[in-house]
Amino acid sequence: MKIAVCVKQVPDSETRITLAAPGPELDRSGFTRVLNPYDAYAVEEAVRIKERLGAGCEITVVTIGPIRAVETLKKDCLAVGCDRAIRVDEPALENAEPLQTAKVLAAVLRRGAYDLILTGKQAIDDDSAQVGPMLAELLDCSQATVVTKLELGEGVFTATCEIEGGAAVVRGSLPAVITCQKGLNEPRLPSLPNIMKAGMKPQETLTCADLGLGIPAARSRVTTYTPPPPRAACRMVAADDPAAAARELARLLRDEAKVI
Amino acid sequence: MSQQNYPTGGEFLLRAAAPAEIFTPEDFDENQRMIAQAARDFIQQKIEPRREQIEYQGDTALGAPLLKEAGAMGLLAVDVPERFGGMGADKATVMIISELISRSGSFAVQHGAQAGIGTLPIVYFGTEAQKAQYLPRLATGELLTSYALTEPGSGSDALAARTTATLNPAGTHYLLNGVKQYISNAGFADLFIVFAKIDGDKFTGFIVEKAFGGVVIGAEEKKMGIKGSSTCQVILEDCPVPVGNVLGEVGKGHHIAFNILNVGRFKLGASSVGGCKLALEWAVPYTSQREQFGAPINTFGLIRAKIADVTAAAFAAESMVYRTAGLLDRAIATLDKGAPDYDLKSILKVEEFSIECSMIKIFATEAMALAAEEGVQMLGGYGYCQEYGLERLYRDERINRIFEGTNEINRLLVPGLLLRKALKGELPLLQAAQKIAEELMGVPEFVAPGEPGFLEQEAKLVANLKKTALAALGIAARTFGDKLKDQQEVLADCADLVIAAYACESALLRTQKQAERAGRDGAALMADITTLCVNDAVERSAELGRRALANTLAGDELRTMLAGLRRLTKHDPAPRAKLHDRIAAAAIAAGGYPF
Ligand SMILES: Cc1cc2nc3c(=O)[nH]c(=O)nc-3n(C[C@H](O)[C@H](O)[C@H](O)COP(=O)(O)OP(=O)(O)OC[C@H]3O[C@@H](n4cnc5c(N)ncnc54)[C@H](O)[C@@H]3O)c2cc1C
Ligand SMILES: Cc1cc2nc3c(=O)[nH]c(=O)nc-3n(C[C@H](O)[C@H](O)[C@H](O)COP(=O)(O)OP(=O)(O)OC[C@H]3O[C@@H](n4cnc5c(N)ncnc54)[C@H](O)[C@@H]3O)c2cc1C
Repeated sequence: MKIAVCVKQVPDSETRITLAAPGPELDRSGFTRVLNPYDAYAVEEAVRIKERLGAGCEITVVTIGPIRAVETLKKDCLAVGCDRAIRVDEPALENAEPLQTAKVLAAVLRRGAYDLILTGKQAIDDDSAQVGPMLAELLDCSQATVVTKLELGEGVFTATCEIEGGAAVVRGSLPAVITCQKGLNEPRLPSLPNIMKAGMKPQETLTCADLGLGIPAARSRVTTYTPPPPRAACRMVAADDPAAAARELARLLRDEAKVI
Repeated sequence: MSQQNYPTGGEFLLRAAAPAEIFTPEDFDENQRMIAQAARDFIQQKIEPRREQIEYQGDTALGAPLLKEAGAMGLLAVDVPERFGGMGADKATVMIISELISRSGSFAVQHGAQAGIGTLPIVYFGTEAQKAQYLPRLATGELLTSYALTEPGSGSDALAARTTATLNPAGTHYLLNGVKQYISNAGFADLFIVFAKIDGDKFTGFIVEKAFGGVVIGAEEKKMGIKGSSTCQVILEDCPVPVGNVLGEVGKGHHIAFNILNVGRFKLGASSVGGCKLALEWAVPYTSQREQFGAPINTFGLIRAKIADVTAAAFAAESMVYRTAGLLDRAIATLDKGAPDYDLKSILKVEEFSIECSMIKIFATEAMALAAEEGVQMLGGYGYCQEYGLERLYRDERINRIFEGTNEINRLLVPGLLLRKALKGELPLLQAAQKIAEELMGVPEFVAPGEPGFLEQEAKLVANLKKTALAALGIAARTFGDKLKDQQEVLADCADLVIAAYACESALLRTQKQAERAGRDGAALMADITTLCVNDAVERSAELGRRALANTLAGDELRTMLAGLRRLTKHDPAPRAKLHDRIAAAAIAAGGYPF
């Protein structure tokens, strides 16, 4: 079985974004970057499948990102059991929109006959949750999204998908794109010796030109990032007369804060 | 001076190093960065969810499963040679792990007892058979270990141990009897590195398995801090240890004990650097949110001064730790890695730098004390409450100045070891001191007035800090001769002078290296920190030097040398409030340590 895992390096969720005024650019220089947490479930699932199937199963991890993404590929993917890595280095795709990303990933994935394509249910930076489904459409294969349980049979999969208020069990044929949700598994930590050895696994760096692809055009762009409004000073409502205070509070919430 | 092709321990006092020579955190490679991140991930996933149970319920037994999980990740294998299942990593990597693991709190002490003092005696002094028998299982955490040197009657004076080892009539086993005290990991350890005296005088190391029998573990101590770390007495009652488990040579236990302490001190320095950063990470964002008098408290000068002083102390400590790691790695790299005595030879290289190990232990643990102290203060009443981590850090930090040799003992060691190197002819310290004394009695060199260049004044002052330290030490040695060991106050002042010189030079060289790489703008923050460190060190050194001289000399001789000291410590005082303001601004923007 050939498995591909599509991953993204994202800013750590504790990253402090400082934005003095609204503008089209963020200062990303001080960001700590990590593997998108949902992609970690995808990597772990791939490795567990490989451990079950043994020889003949190969995991390729694919990312689009600059050179700094290599640390994530090595530490969080190759060091925990992925076999090889492909990185598309294309500065124009920095902060790409979902369809651009999906088109480029699809071009990479078409080069290998993958039976199973795993990815996170969404990336925690832009939260689009679209790349997985788009990829399935572009590759014309089945898909299951927000998956918390995955079983594989001969040419088929059974996935438990989280849906509003419950779960849906989806059966489909392979090849398939599966987007992974928390609960699917408990990702392992890479061991230090494996981190040191990760660099010895094959890694390929490609550009869109190598893929015979023009850089897909963006259909939208960010015009402004706005910092959240500063917290307003706390207003105290005098409570000498509780009934009057409650009336005043309700009025403030309705007329000034406009939340009721 | 050393004839070797690398600088040896203490040599920094006599020789100005070039920035390119020194190792700095800016030189970490990709593997080192990934390993640091992996250690963070371990703490985030394995320690944080159990924080309450470990630190506030004092569940010391949890150390055992946590160590095994750390073992599975390779976090116990860093110092173990590759042929025994370890990583045989360089000292820089070892220090990175110590620094990061310190973020785990009590677990850091358990990790240190396992991967450091409990394993290294076998790595460095074990026979091949002992290594093969124990190291692979120590590296994975299958075997948990501890280091049992201290006794109720012998702490700092470790060689006064009373535990005895008596060979049985058959000559197959030593029977160990005695009490060991304050032994980290004792509650769950399978193995104890025990020191005992054979025939009442031959101080010797032993590898003791709990399974040998005759090992009784006392109750957990009720401690001020690191409450999740197991600390118990180990009582040995006719414990039979096979003769094959003697560690190193009979009667050479002190050699093991002191060398292992050296590494322990160095690692404790690295972990204290981690502690400083943690205090900043917790305190600085708080000062951004907390408003009093209508403004965030981090806009107030006195709070900014605290943030900046802690940042500067952390920077200097960090610079010392990684500079020294680089020195050790260079020294060890001169050895033949394939030689059968490579491990033993490499600990002897570390021994050459025992002065640096002691200096780092003192400076970094005291930097962390400052960080915890000021961290609590920045939080006001909240700093005093358990809900915030700083209350714990404040208690936990305290042990660092007591174990691995109290800071008093280490202060006595710094000048003691320097003078020993001088007497052995390894470092011409006394000649250099003599030259400085003559120079100070001569006509002062004329300095043309003018604005000093980038870090020019700092570089000159660092050179003078070294001269001050050398002069004070040289004069004390000349005056007191072999009675100097009874002059503890003079020795401690000399130690602090030497440490100030090493700390400031390490910060300066790192900044210069950064400026070579990133330009002066890219090194501006480091330059501010260096200016602050050097300014404060020079002012403190003037006082330390005065004290040391007044305790050593009298009359005209004293007055002459005091005049010389004034020349060495003459400087344009730095605008501290301005420096504080800029350094604090960077730390506030970063939400903690700004590098
Ligand atoms: C939590 C904890 C964990 C520990 N873990 C271990 C461990 O795993 N293994 C182990 O073997 N030990 C361990 N220790 C013991 C530790 O190393 C000793 O406590 C330390 O060496 C100090 O010894 P002491 O407590 O007997 O103090 P003492 O030696 O009695 O010192 C008391 C005071 O006198 C000062 N002093 C002593 N001698 C001199 C001198 N010559 N000149 C000037 N001042 C002096 C000291 O600096 C100190 O201030 C641990 C201790 C604690 C508290
Ligand atoms: C155990 C305990 C018992 C207490 N008991 C009582 C009690 O019985 N009754 C009672 O009323 N209160 C009590 N307090 C509250 C105590 O008086 C406050 O904690 C104290 O006044 C500090 O206020 P704070 O904690 O809000 O800190 P903050 O005022 O927020 O101060 C935080 C830090 O900012 C500094 N800072 C604040 N303003 C400035 C400024 N303008 N310039 C420079 N630095 C500044 C402070 O010095 C401090 O370092 C108690 C607190 C504790 C912890």
